[in-house]
Amino acid sequence: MSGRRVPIGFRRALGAALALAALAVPLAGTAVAAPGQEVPVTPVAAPTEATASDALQGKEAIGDLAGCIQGSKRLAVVFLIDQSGSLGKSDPENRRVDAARAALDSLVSLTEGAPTERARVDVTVAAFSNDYYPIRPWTTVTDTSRGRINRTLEGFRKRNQGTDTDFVNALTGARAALADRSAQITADGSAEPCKAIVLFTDGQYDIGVRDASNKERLGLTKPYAPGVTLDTEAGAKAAEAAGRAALCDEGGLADGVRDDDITLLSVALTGTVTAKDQDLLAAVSTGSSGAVTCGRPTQTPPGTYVSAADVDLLVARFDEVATRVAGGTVVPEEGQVVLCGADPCEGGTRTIKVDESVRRFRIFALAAEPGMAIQLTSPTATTRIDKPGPSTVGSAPVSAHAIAGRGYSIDVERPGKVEDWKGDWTVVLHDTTGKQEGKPVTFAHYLFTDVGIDFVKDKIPVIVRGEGVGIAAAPVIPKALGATLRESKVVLRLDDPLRSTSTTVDLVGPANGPYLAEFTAPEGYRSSSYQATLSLEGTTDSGAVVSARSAPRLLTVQRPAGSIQLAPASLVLPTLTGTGTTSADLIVIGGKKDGCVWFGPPRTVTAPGAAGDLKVTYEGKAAVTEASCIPVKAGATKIVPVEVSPSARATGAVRGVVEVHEKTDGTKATITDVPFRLDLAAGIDEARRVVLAVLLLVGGLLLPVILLMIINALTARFQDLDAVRGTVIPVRVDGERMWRTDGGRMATLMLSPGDFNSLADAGDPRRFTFGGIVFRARPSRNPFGASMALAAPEGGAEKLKGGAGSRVELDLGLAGSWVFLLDPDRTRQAGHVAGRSGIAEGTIIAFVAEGDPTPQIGRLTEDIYDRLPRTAAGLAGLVLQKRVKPKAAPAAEAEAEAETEGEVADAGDDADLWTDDQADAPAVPDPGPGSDPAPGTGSSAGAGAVAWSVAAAEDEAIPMPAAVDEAIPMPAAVDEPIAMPAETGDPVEPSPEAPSTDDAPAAPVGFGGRPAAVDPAVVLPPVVDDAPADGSGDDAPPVGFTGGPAT
Amino acid sequence: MGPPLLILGLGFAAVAVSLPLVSADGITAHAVGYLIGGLLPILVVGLVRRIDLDRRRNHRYQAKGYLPLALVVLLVAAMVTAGLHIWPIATELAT
Repeated sequence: MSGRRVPIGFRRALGAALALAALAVPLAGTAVAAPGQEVPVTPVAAPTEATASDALQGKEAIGDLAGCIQGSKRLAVVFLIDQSGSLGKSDPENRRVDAARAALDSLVSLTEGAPTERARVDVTVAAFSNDYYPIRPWTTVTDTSRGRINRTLEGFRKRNQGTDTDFVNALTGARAALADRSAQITADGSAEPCKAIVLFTDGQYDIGVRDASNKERLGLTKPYAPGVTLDTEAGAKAAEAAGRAALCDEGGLADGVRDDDITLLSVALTGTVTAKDQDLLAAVSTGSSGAVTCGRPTQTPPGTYVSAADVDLLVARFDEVATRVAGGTVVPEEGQVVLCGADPCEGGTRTIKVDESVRRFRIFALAAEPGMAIQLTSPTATTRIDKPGPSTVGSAPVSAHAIAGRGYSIDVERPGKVEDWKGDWTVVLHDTTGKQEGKPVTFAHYLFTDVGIDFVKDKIPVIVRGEGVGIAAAPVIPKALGATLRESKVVLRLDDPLRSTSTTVDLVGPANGPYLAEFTAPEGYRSSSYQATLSLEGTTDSGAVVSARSAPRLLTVQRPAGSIQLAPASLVLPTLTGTGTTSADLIVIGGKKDGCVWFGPPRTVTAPGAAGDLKVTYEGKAAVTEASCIPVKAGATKIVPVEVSPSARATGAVRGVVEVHEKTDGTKATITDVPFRLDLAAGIDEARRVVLAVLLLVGGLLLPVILLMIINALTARFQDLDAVRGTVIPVRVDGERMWRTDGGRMATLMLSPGDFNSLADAGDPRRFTFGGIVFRARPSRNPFGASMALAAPEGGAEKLKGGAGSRVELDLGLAGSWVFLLDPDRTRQAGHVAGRSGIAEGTIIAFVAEGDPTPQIGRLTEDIYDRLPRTAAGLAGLVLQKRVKPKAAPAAEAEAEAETEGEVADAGDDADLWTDDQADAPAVPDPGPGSDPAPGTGSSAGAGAVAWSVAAAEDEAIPMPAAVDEAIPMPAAVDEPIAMPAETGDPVEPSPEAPSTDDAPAAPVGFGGRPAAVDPAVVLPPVVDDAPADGSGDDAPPVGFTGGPAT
Repeated sequence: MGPPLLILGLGFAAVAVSLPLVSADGITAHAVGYLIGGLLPILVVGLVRRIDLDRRRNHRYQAKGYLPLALVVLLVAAMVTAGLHIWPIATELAT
């Protein structure tokens, strides 16, 4: 099913070699010591017999992984590193980081060498505690990316604060990550990568009890323990038990990992962890350990379990993996290797036999502390290596890589000159610090040969159930090498890909082949194929060790002669992205007689859970039974499409078996199990993506807009009123001349500090009444706009043409703003008295800030003189054009309508507002407590009209007046008496002398704020709208005529 | 005294910081990019306007003529940035 199985026989032999190598290093310490020579023991690096033998369980899995990588040249690895709080005790020295870095260094070796040897390695780094936490995305390992990945690994020195050691969530996450990566790789038709999880942990499955401080963050339940809450010790224990079951029950997570062809390499930091706890993890990795069995029984360990009590041995193992992936063979060492001083010593010297059949050899040496140098002597030259990098020995290229900062992995390539290569090489390990002499070193060397092994050309065995078949193999030695074998041993391993069983066949023959054997497949063998791997162990005439292994080959197992035959032996369906169906053709070849085929229920060995039920159909039919079997004529070829459809989108690998029944006339039915495999990639749900994008865009942009509107609503308020002073001054405007009419006299309009009173009691900062005008702070409807102040007469405004003057907008700061409130009654009377138009009477309401008012008043006065004449004239003209209806609008209605922009208080029929007889006009509505009466409207009754406008002084725009009383020179009192209207209720009679003031109450029934609308002839100054188009007010106040420019 | 140009600069800086995240992988990067490059600048615009309004009440305030244009540019940039991040987020969620 997968391409990574290697022969059991070979694995056994290799396993023995590895075990020997593992044992050789620690045991050599005493074996090599010269008589009388004391060999110091280093507590960190010196492997002991116990650690060596216990350190690596499931070595065969490393061989399998190496074989897989040799075939696919692609590896995906998850570095899954424990970050639980228990590491503080179990791994206080952060050995897991050192081990992970060393493992990474070894993986880099996989990516180097000749192009045919290189593998592409993708690595992701993840942490786990209560859950799986991706730390680094998938990164292709190169010499340059190694630094970045190392930095990620270094970050784990401080990652030991997690809660739980939850292997279920950790392995589930890692498995999903590998499935994702595999799907990405295979989506374009590339070969599936080999997959591995390197798990660094203290080995103790542990679920912590949740408390109030962490239950939100960590969650109160586990997905594999439904109904169990973790807020009690009993709950946590129950969850642990459920987790162990989820891991190790048949068909559980451990089996899922194995079914996905993932090699689990567990590195146990066993500082404080009991053997029982270690057994669980070891069993998860290797299938069984001690009394613990995990998952379905397996003949060969699917993973490895390494005790990290000796990190260096672990590092050596990883280096060995890399070496073997590249085709290297470990050469057993004799005796413990130790560091020499400045001079060579026997314990620190090793000899390597090399001949033409060796294309490369590798030395791995790892000291306990930094400071090791390696002297390398070829048959013709010598060199000293004390730092990583390229160099040469004679003409032989040398490449040295640092391992964990205290050792080297050195590759020496075969040069063109045979004399520089063939012969004995010596390696001497020197201590450069003077402190480590005699201390043991983890040492190994590997040979890479050009010798191979394969079936004899054109004699690939065809296996038939129940029939013997001859097998012939021969060594593959390039003629140019001229090497011959002195001795050899050849083994064929045949794996049943569906049942994890293996058979080994010893081949016999001369040292240089051919090697022969006969094999008979059992009659009851149901799988459609065997996976065959040949291995060769031997030595050349020169004494060089040779180890070769053929690439795994799938051998079809045929049914007995005359039966219907099937092909291919394994169905590989194209990767399915998204939803739909993927299919592959099963070729059915007719037997000697007519017959038919049908299918039993398909078995799914593994599939991502999200895929739901997998539907398998044959020729479009969901089920093909014996009764409805597909006929196959004798000798004919029939193609049966096998289609697989998942129920839902998912990412991951699907492995399954199709049970094919065949029967020819007059014979018994036989069954063949044909494995199928495909990868699923969830892909992108386009419709969902578009909907989500729209929702996110709308929602995402609305969110800040809504926030801004809320902020606007909360902050729409005037300047604190106790920081503002205001004044209400009755004025008469006649052309360019202006008088204030308070105090019973007419005086040239000037303002003085004494006119202003505090607004502290006028209301609240959102709404207050002053001078008969209601001021409201209103947030802008434009979320990006500034809030504004709206001002409208208490009783509403007279409805004028175009809604002019119904209300105005001004700055919320108030200080520096002024409002002109035109009194229609007095204006009309004044016009009558004067016998001409152009006279306006009303009230100015102005504001200054607390503090020194003098300069502010100066600016205000100047602005009033600048703009009021035209404003007042325009409003007066507008009022005089209208006739007043003999009734006034109810105040409440008027006010309510005045609050609507563009509308005015309804004073009644706007067609005829003005009547000479105003006696029936309603009384002026009460302006309300705390508000000053509108000038001229206090006691009068009848249909008056009030028109108004506002302006505000702009600090920058309005130059300071030249002088003021005390800053501003107050005008001399004008002697002429003010023609005040009489306080009577008599109708106003036009009079050339003076207007009557005893007319009906001048209820504010109208507003005027757009002078240009009153009289287009009146040329207004350019509107200084402090708010730009969006209302933000980027130019400083004045507020200008807030009705905006006349259009 | 003038408009709060420092805060305005913060808004542009946020957009600038967010843009490189457009090419990043992972929903987290894009969510962060959206918050920094989309949400934050829009809030900055509101904040700038509000502070600017407050400062205008000070008689020493000096207006900057380019402020309206700068705010519009920032708004547009923020919305474009938000869109650039939203699409990968939607893609991730739809995968």
